[in-house]
Amino acid sequence: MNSYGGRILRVDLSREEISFQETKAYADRWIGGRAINTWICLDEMAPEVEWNSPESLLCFGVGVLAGTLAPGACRVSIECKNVFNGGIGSSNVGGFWGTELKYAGFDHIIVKGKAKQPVFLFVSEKEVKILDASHLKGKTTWETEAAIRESFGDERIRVTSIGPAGENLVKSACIICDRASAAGGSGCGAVMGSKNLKAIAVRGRAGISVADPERFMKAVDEEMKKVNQWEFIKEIREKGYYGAMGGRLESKGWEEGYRPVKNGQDEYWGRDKIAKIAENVMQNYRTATVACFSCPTACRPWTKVPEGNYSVEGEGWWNNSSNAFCTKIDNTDIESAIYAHHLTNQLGLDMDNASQAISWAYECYEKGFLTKEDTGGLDLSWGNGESMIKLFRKLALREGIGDLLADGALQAARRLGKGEDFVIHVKGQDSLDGVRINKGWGFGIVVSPVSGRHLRGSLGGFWLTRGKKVNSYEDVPRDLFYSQKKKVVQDILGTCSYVYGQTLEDWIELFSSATGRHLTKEQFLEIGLKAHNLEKAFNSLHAGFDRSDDYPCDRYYNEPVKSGPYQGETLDHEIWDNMLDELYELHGWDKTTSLQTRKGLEKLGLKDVADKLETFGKLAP
Amino acid sequence: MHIWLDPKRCKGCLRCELACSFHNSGHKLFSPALSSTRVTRDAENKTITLSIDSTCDLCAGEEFPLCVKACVFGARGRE
Repeated sequence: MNSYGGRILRVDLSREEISFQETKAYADRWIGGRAINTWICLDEMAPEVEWNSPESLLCFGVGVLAGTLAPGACRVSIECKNVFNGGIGSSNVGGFWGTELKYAGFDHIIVKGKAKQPVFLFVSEKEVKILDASHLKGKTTWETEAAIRESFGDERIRVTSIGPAGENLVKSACIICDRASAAGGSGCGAVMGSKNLKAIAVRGRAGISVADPERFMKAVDEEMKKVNQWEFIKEIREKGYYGAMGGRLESKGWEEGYRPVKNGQDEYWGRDKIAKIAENVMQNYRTATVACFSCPTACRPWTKVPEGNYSVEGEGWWNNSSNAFCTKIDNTDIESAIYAHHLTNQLGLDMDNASQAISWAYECYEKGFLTKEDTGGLDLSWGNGESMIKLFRKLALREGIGDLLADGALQAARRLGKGEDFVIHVKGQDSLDGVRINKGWGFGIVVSPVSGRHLRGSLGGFWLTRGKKVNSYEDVPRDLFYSQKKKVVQDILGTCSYVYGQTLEDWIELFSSATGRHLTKEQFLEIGLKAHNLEKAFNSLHAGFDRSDDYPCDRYYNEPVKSGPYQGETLDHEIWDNMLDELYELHGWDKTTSLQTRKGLEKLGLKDVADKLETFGKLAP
Repeated sequence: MHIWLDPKRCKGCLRCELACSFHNSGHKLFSPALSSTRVTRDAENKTITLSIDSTCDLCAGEEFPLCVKACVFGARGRE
């Protein structure tokens, strides 16, 4: 199969069985990546299966263009059951691991079962082995990767692994690829931990062919021209995304609600505090920028604190980092924040989810709901970066108060019997993002089938700029409906949002010349729509979600922004209801319940999904 | 003609390896294993080393060395 590895690897850890399938069995209908994974989750997991039971699935799917010269095509989709709410879990990650898997001849790995003791997988084009990982138990992702690579004596072995957080089934656990690329959200690291699967090491020496090499290379050249002509490309290569774009002191992003302050009490931090962590300061800690596989952008800063208590160096620092480790807990100490960034990667914690639970704990401390007695002596006063670092460790190890937070802030509040009204979550999953100012951003996050996350079609950021005022509700449902579909296409192909200038037409030309398969723009978007409907169906069946789950959490729905240029900004309840009506109508879903309809699904060729939903009483009447 | 390398400018994307493998495979495959040039990045301190082995034919038959064309970071060039 041109542009594919060609096979799907199935691993049953309970039975210690390895089997193979042709990717083609799924590719004709679902093309690849996220869509194939989601179909397998919906088709093969029964609704009553718990995320941590052996029957649950953990699906890795590499993008169709990954492994070729298509700019930035390296990304992997990971699908499973969401540990926070039982709905669809879904994450997406860059780095080098995914393309190595394709060079080993595989597009997907589907893991089922639970190993009796910690194991890791070794996958190459010649063999697949389930190996003992007892010696890796408790090790960080950095230690795990180094140990595996050293044991094989091959520096090109690529590793994806979980840290202590995943082993301890902490719900904010992620899967770390190549030390620094985090597959965050949904708790996929906890699912991996529940299977006693510590890591997947991959080495591939085969190649990826394309159907029409000359046409494909021409399409690559055209795309590269656009990348190189982008007005910010020189600066982003020099400073990374944060330094060149979102982290600049003068960036509007600081004002537009992307970085909630003090557990979402506000959405603006004030210029004095921003100036302590923005690019004017970060430049002192950035020693270089680096790239993912086949990426011409190189958005990733290499950050280094050279000395002192927070001495560390490694790959990465994102806009999210400045939210998770700074604004969320009012921390202006950049060195502790950089340390925390790399620490969460080592512990295998998703910064978005984990920092949210921690900022909730800080607010509990402010309100007297948690005391030093509860925190094991930690002073959780706003701004205390040192305590934040200790708390991340406790969280990953489920130690003391860390155990309270390990099932997410909503569960913690329920156990504590207090503080539920200021838990920031989407459908029960801790959520990093602010939603009150940028309406297209916020609406996309709240209605996302994967329970939050801002890269699921949310409108905003430089790749989905709408040319409208940031707080405008105008055309939000219609624009989101389009971008939701487009994002699925991107995740199927494995391309990256940070490779600027890629249009749907560009992707189609790359796809057609690479695979020899010709789809129109409309056909591609319909695949995106179908895959989105699979996620929706999974949520109806497995989590029982309906319209009531498409509203923001209490604080964001009811409290205004307190300061800054958007002081007083709120979410209008009537408009929110109208936007839901419009979005459901565009999807062909029932407005009252949000459930899918037979008519809508059959129009998309998803009769089998409609039948399944009907069997379980989850189809709209 | 020879190809010069500047590891200080390299970002470790491996596009040069892919381009080289495309040439070495007769425009059939993308595979770092088939590449004559090699990019190695130290995971712990980011130090990058670049090399070209004896299988490099300076892209005989191509209009321009493909690895040089593929590098957008100025980490290699033709001289």
